[in-house]
Amino acid sequence: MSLPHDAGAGPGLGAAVQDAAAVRVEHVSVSYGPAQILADVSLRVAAGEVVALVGPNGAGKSTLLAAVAGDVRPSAGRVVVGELDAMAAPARALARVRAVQLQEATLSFAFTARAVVEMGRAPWQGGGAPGGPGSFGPVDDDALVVAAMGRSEVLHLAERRFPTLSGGEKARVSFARVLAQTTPVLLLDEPTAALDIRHQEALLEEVRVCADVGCAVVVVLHDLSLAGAYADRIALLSHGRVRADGPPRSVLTPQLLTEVYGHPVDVVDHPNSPGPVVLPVRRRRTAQKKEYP
Amino acid sequence: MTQVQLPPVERRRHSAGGVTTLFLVLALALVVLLVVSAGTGQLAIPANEVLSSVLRRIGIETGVPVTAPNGEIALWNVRFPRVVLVAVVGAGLAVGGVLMQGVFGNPLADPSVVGVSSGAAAGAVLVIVLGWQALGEWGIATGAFVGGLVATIIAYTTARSAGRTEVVTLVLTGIAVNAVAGAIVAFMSFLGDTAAREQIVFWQLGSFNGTRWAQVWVALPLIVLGIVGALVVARQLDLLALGERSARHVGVDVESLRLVVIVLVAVTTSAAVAFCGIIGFVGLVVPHVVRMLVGPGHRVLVPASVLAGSVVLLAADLAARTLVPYAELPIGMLTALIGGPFFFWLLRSTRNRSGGWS
Repeated sequence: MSLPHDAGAGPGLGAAVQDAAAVRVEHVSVSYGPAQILADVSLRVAAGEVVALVGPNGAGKSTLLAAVAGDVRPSAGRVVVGELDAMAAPARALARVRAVQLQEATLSFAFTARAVVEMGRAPWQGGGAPGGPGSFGPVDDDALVVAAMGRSEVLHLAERRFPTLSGGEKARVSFARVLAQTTPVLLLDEPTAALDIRHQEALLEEVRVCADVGCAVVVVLHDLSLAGAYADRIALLSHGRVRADGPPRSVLTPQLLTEVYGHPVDVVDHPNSPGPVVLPVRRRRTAQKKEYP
Repeated sequence: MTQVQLPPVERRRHSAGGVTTLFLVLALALVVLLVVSAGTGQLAIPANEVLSSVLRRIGIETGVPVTAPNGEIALWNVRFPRVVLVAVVGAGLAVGGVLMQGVFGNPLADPSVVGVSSGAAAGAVLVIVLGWQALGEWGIATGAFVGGLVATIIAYTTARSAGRTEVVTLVLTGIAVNAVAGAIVAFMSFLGDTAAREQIVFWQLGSFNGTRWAQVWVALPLIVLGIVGALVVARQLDLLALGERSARHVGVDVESLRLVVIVLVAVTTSAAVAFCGIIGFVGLVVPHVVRMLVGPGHRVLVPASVLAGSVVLLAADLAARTLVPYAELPIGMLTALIGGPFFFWLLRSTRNRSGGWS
């Protein structure tokens, strides 16, 4: 990477935070009325680690991410991000510690893509502006914005109006905004859902780069093979509880996935994939034309 | 993705040249309209005499006297307070619109949505009919202030639940507040005598007739406060466009921002409405058009809308005074007559271009 700021690569804070967990979820429960979404969930994410949250629909992945982001108040337990209590800390202090990409990117006024990425610099405006974990000294906001847009391949969209972009382009611009925020913790809710194969891989490659320079990343993924290839650890959620938490090969097993997803699942190895490849078992179609009654 | 050269993206912000041009055009239009409007009426005073009269007041003698008999007195006691109040109220209505749209994240929101305007109207009408004379000539104005603020606070506190505010709830609460305020106005017109009823009608249609300096000195500081407040929160309103959650993620204290903006809206709208009745559509159309010209960034949108609001209302007031000889049209009727269809056209063109209003 030939970047003006290597997301703060190099010695500095990154090494110091390495041992303490950057994200600590301690016995968190979340209820919406009578419905309990999360039940006694604990999770630790260290600096330099990518943790994928996977699980069936309604398992509580997005709610867990929202709790870590400080959007949802747990009925029990607590969430610590960096040194901050996710519910009690001021919005601005939190925004300097963690950046969040939500599933759907909306914008109520027609700002340009570039203006949206610049919004990621907002928490740092008005003093104390590091260019990323571990970097010190004056920071060029413009250079950071351009670098972030380059890393998510949206420079050519810079002057386009955000509402006119396609779903995948919006997601990549939002990812650029998250990168521009240069926080030590990244929380991403299905960032690859709207992306094509090339951009899926490229985005997760960038996520890995962030982790390699000391960021802690929590990413919700539906594609288990993607999770297997890029995550250091996978937390498998089911019915609001952590069913399994560990390295991809220990979590992505046919027995566990078949049970949790309620569908037969196969896990294979392929020489071109660093992680296990997860395949849902599919019924072979017969060649004859199907007759409808 | 990893081989990124820093490309030459020139900073083509919403064309900086276009922004400068807009400000220059608006400022020029504002000055021209102020002078022309002050010189227009049953007693016509040429523009150069108006200008020299102003210059003389600030100590620059130009040697051009106001030739019309009593012209100097008419200018300073009747015309100037009126044109200044028109400009101030236009700015206040436009800023109220910008703030409301920003906080709702919807270019179609307006102070009347939350019930500020009708709350102010109800407060003023109560004072007119019940004849609370204790406050003297400030009764109606104070009634409007109190009514507008009460309406906003009711709407806001009702719409809050668990420390958060759902926009939909707030809009629906606004509808309820509007209904109650409308009922108060209707009941008061039923109770009132003929004189009071006439005054209510006049007030509801909106008019700048009979403006005095004393009114300017009340409206001006309040609206300036609103403008300064809007400039202070401009950057945060930009971030709020990301949605409440994402705005919080980039460090905006959404709840306090909302509270500050709602109070600012109540202050500017009540101050604007207090002395001239209900003047619609300025708060809706002006920010809309400015956004189309210079983009949605509030640091440009707020000052541009201030100027544009003044210009639009001055033009409307000039038209209201001159379209029909020896009579004055209600300015609220005029802005609605022109603003309504124009807004309708805006809606259709926006929807065609961007496939919706989000």
